[in-house]
Amino acid sequence: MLIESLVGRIQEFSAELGQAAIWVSSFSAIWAIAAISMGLPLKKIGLLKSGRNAVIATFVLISLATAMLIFGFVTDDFSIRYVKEVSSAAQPLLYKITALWGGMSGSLLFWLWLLTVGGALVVWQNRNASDTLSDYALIAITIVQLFFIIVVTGVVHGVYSPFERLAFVPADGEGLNPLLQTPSMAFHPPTLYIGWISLTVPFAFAMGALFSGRIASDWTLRSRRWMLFSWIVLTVGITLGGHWAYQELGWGGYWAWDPVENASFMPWLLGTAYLHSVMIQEKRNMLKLWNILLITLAFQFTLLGTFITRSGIISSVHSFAQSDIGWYFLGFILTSTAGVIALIVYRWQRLKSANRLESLLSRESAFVLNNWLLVGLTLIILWGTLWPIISEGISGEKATVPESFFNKVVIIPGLLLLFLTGAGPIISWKKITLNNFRRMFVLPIIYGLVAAGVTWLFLAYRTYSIKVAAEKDMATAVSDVTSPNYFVQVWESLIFKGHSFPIYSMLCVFASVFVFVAIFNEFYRGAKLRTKRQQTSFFSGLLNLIQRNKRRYGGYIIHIGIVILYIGIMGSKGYFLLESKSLQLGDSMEVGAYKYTVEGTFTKNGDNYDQKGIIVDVEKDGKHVAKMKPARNYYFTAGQGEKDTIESAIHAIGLNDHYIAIGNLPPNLGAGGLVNVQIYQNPLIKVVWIGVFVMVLGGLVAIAQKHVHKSQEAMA
Amino acid sequence: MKYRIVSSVEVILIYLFIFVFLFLSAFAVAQDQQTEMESLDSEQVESQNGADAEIQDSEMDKSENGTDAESQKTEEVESGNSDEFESQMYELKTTLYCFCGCDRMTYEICHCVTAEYMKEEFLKSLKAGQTVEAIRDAYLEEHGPQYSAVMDAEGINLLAYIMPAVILLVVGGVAIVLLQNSRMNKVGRTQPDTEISEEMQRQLESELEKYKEQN
Repeated sequence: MLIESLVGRIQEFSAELGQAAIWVSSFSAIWAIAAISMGLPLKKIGLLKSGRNAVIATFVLISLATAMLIFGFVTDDFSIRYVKEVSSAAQPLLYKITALWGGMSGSLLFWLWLLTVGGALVVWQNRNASDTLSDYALIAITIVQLFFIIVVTGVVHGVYSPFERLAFVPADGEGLNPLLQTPSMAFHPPTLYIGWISLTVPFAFAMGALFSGRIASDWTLRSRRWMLFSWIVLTVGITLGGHWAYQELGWGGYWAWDPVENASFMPWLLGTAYLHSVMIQEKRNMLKLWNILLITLAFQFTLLGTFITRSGIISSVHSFAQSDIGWYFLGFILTSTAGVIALIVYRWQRLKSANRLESLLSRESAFVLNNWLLVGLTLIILWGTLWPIISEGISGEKATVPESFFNKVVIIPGLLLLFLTGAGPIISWKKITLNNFRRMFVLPIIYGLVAAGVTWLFLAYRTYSIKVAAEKDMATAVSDVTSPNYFVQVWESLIFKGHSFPIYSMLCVFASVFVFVAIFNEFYRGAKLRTKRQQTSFFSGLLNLIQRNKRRYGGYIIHIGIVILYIGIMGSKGYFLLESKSLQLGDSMEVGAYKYTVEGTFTKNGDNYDQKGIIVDVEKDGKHVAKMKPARNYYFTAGQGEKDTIESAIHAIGLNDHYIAIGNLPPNLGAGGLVNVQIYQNPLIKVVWIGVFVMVLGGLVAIAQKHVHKSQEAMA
Repeated sequence: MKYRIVSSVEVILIYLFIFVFLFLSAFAVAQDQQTEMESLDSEQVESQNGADAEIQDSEMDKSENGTDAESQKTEEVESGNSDEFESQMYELKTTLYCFCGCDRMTYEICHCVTAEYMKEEFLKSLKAGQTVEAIRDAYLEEHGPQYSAVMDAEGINLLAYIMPAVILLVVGGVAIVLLQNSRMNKVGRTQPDTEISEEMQRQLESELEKYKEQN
């Protein structure tokens, strides 16, 4: 009794301490902004130091608040409203901790904490810097922090404080949404948050450059690793989200152009555009204004994503936490955009480029084209995402934008972008020369054309084979060479009549092989040269080549990863098989060359759920291949979500996945009851994950380069 | 340093490449349109005359190759084999979103209880002689147009399909204007970065001081 009372007191104290820490942090943030803003024009080092210390103090205070909330979760303090809404006593410890970002208030506190980590790291990184650029950047970072602090205190309508107490103490919490109780979901949101927040730092340096009037490449060089870090983490975060969708949602796919997926993808696209265009600023002193605009857009799109996710204006499978908060984000986006525009107008003269494009066939032009496509794609995706609201505004009816719309409108710019992935790194700066063209382009184009030709014949044969397989259903023969229909069918197979995807596949294969050969050629030539110069092995020469310019070759590795990713997307999105049937025990169904038989059922008890599923035997040509166990989890508590989740069974054979998801299990399954079974065969899906892995690897190589000089050849 | 202009043969090759890319893209888009038209045609014939040879041909197209995804999709509903309604069921399942708890999931991929119930209802309606179009219309009338998983390029939605091309043109235009306005010096002359960091400034000043002291 005494212990319980003591624990209750500690819990009460920790919650109050957390709330107090948030309030005090608002003062430290305001002081940081005021002290640095005054210290800079007055050139008072004391004020600047005090401001920097206030940034650290904000970090310490918000860390304390976050720790107190985690303490509340771990000790099941259901007197805290937020803990009660997203946690329960039976929830495993991992998911009690990850519940921190499982709802609105906690995720905002977590976001704020990461922002303060960013601020503290900027102070630490620039502790020996003798200039004031980082101080200007700190003002921008702290303004963003202050916005989040105001939101988290609970004073604004629609969001309660994460430490708000209930008048009574419930016996148990409502539990975390079961969809979030998976390893992928435990790490997907924090990686996305980290990616978004690390985008704030380059944005803050850009604002610092505008504040201070030093628009040269300093700010880009100082924030380069932050930007790369953000890009890597966003890549991982988006992929984890896709992996989660693939495993948990039971529809056999990993990307459906859901509004929240789009919200995470748009900053990534803009960040990618910035990573390319910033090299032109460093190398040619061009595109200063464009880079400021790009990084501002990338940052604003992280907030816009939150607006889309949290305002509830657009429905999404991911909308776990909705309230009026989105509108505050919109207000902040508009206000900060107005501020940035004012600064740009103020610094207009200094933002002009010192050089100009000399030829449309140059690396600069390739980068500008790449930026045009990336920014264009971002705005196209934004357009599609917001179309339900726009259509409602125009016609009064809210349209739902299907996946097919996005697939249609992004495929051509996406393929052009893939081609540029190879063309950009091998084209000369300033202007292409005849020699450069012959040396770098001819071979990749020839290989690309050959590969596209082989793909054409393969896919045409495949289309024809499908027609032959269905010959029995047709009025006239397909495989009979004497039939007039034979030539018609062969011709229609060769031109893929009625199908667009094989044509896109040919273009994709052409561009992929072109890029791969172009990049491989770059590695090969460089490594061979070093091998010859240093009298060493080819492998040592290759390592030395990468070591000497990690930024450039890291970028090339990323491009190879992108090629692999495109191939994976082409295979998994374009050539999957799906069959669906209601089966009872002992029934079989055939998909492609495989036979699937429902052999039995199984149950399993978790900490906070019961699992029920079926055992499916997979055979090929009469030989056993695998046993798969698709299931449904039935959670005891579900918070804001559904109580049951789909636990798909995935079995990899080579690079392909066999994927089974099931509907609800009827009580009479063993006695003639039917269960809906959906079987997917997803070709090349493993290639998607491999592609992302290679991209991240390339990013890590690029980020390993500490310093970049303007004279150094930029990464392609 | 002078650069040689790429030979006219190679310029022609580049233009040829761009032309082939655009042609194939346009061809692919045209294939989509053709598939949609054929799908509409076959539906009309289906509702009027039943299964004749033309329908068989079109159904084969739909069931085997009729989608972009090239997926082979079949379905047998709980009441047993229903090949007769296979293509109609497929069309309903892929063009309507489930309305209960499975946001943005078509009946083709949704596993919820509502989805299973609705699929049975669709089959019953088909067996009762209703057309796919009538069932779709009734569903959207009851639950709202937001549950349509098809966005045809017609009416207000035509704007949604046109805008991406406009966006690309506008972004390209903005990029060109920004580049045009940013020209400050003559073609081909690389201007060095005129701004130096404060740190560099201080270093230069201190070295200048040292130099003065030494001399």
